[in-house]
Amino acid sequence: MLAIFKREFLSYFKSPVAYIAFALFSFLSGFVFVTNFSNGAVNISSEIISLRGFFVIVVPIITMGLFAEDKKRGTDIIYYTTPISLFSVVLGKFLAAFALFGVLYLNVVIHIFVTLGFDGTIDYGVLGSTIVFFVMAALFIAIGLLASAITDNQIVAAILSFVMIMVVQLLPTIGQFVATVLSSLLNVIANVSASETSEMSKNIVAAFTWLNPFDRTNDFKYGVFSLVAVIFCVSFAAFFLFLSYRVLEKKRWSQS
Amino acid sequence: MSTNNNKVKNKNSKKITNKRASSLKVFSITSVLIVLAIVLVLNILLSQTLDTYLTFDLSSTSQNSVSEQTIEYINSLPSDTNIRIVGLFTEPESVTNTPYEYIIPMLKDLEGRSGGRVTVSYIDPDLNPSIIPELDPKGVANLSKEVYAVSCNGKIRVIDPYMDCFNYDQVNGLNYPIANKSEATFVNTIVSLLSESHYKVYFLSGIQEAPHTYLDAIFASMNIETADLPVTEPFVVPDDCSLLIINNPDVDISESVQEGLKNYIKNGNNPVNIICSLGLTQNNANENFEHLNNVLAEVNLSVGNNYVYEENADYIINPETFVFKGTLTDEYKDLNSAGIVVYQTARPVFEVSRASSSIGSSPLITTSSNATLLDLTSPEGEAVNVSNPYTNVAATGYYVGTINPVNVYVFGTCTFTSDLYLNQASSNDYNIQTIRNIISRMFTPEVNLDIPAKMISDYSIDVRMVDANKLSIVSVVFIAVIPIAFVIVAALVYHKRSHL
Repeated sequence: MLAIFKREFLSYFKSPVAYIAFALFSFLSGFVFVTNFSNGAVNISSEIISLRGFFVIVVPIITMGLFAEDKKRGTDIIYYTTPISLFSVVLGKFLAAFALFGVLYLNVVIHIFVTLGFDGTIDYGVLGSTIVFFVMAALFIAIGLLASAITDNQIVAAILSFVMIMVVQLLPTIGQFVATVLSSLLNVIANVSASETSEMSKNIVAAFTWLNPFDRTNDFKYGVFSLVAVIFCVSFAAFFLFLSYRVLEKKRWSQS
Repeated sequence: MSTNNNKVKNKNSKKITNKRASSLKVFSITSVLIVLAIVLVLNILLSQTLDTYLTFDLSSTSQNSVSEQTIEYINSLPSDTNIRIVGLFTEPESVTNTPYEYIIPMLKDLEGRSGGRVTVSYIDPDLNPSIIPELDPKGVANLSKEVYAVSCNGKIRVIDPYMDCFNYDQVNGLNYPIANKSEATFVNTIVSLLSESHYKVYFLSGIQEAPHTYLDAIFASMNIETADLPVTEPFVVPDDCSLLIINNPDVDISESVQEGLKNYIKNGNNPVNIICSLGLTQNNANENFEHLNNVLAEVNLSVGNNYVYEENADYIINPETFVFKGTLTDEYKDLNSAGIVVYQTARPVFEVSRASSSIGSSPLITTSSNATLLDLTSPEGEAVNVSNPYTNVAATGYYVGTINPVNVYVFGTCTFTSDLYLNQASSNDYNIQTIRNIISRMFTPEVNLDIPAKMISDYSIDVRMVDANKLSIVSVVFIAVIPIAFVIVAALVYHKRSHL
């Protein structure tokens, strides 16, 4: 696993992909920082939490080639023929992308030093926000990894992970839409009363919102640290990693 | 024969392979479903049971959590206590730089740690109009949008997130929140809702006074009993009086009532609180309220018999109906969130010479320095010269150093106590905020939790260190130099790879 991690992590720096991701992320985070800085108040926790919104752009760039590239070249056969566990391969690639996020986070570290240099305040909330930054990165990298494992085309993998992350981001809106459609249908077809459908709509929206990691981690910017939200992200990241492993393992039996 | 055997062998082998593949497929799908179920169940269980215990407040001043004192108090309440806190607005998605940044997380924590005794919800009355009659069936609290309603056992209180939850400091004429007292406000509101009140408010009646259903509603929402006090002879203010309100009478009081009131001010058993409004009406324009002025003189105050007229354009609302803006003096500026009020057909309130060093008085609402007084006795309404450029529209008088405190609020206008004004205003109206706060200061809960206000986290950088050059450098470095540097490196790497 360590060898795969090392190989994948170093390969990022041998292709333009990582640098494009760095450029994009440093521009976006820099823009947020400069906006706050010019207003005379820099809340790093708030900045870090707002950076989650950019994962939808950065994660697909980082994860698109993880498996799709190997599949395209046919080098993925090594995973099935060498005595290395397939899960180690998944984990090694995941950790390489995750480590790259550690490098991206250096932008925020620079912002912290600049803030301190101008007598700004850094409180413990930054610690919570940083943890959220990494656990949400883990969750979305796992989703991106799955997208990359599904296809052998990097562009398709990037689009797929973009769509999947976007869907996660828009879960409350989707919930609202589903609730409205279902309520209307039940009203017309089954003649269900408005009060009953309204209760059902509320529950549907609540269920979709419950699944939304953005909603769960929003309060971190105020210094609220919820371990349940962290466990939510980590557990779903583990689930998507497992799913990626299963997708890759499919090749063993589907071709036999 | 051997060909047939081979065919059979191949067929069998394929059968076995297919069987193996389908069992692996089933195993694969089942294992994914099992892992998904485990993840979902784990998260549902954690959210339902341990969320409150696994949530920590990392803010430097514990803004997002309630204190141990509050938890102790809430948990000491009977388990069937049902305190409902409803924010009469849609829960905002972004609360940064709004008061809700400090209130919503704190209320979540209060709800989570209350063992089901406190429920918090956000319901927009525009989207769900039935919420207002549901919370306040008698209409005593005059609920409106953008406030919190706290209800329990049929009693209700209103909390304004801007007005009631912060201490403000004034910088360059603007109010800046410096401390968050939302926990104290909400918890002490709950305390007062659950405690029995022994206060009683009397309205002096029989003097052609203004209607007071709005004030009745405010007192009812505070669980305070009200009653009329007729001006009978001999006149005595009852011992249980906690506040006496003289609500814009059209006729003066008699001499015996005057003596009764003077006696009340000097010898009242409880803290003596009087609110007296003497706005001008068509019916009392010729009344100079000699006896009432004799009573007010006990606290160094008197009410004139002129119209206050504003000449400053910034203070004029409707000059034809004598509606103007007034300013709360520095001493009372925190009575509402804007520091201004509206008054109509107001008489001036004067501070008369001090009868005793133990009596104090101070202006409450002043006009601009351009205001004049119009003489009512002149048919043309001639302006009266005012020696003091600022005229008081309201003032307070008080005794200093006596055993029972004496507080008298005198308004030269009816716009703070009469239904004629209050019933037409919303609950966010500055006059209503002002009178509510005057009243609530008189009736602090008998049991009060001393929860300190929390200083608001300040993320300001030292702006003295940020000049235009430094700002430009920071902007250029973070938005242009660093990203462009990475783009150049990316181009170089790409170029190098393409030439390998």
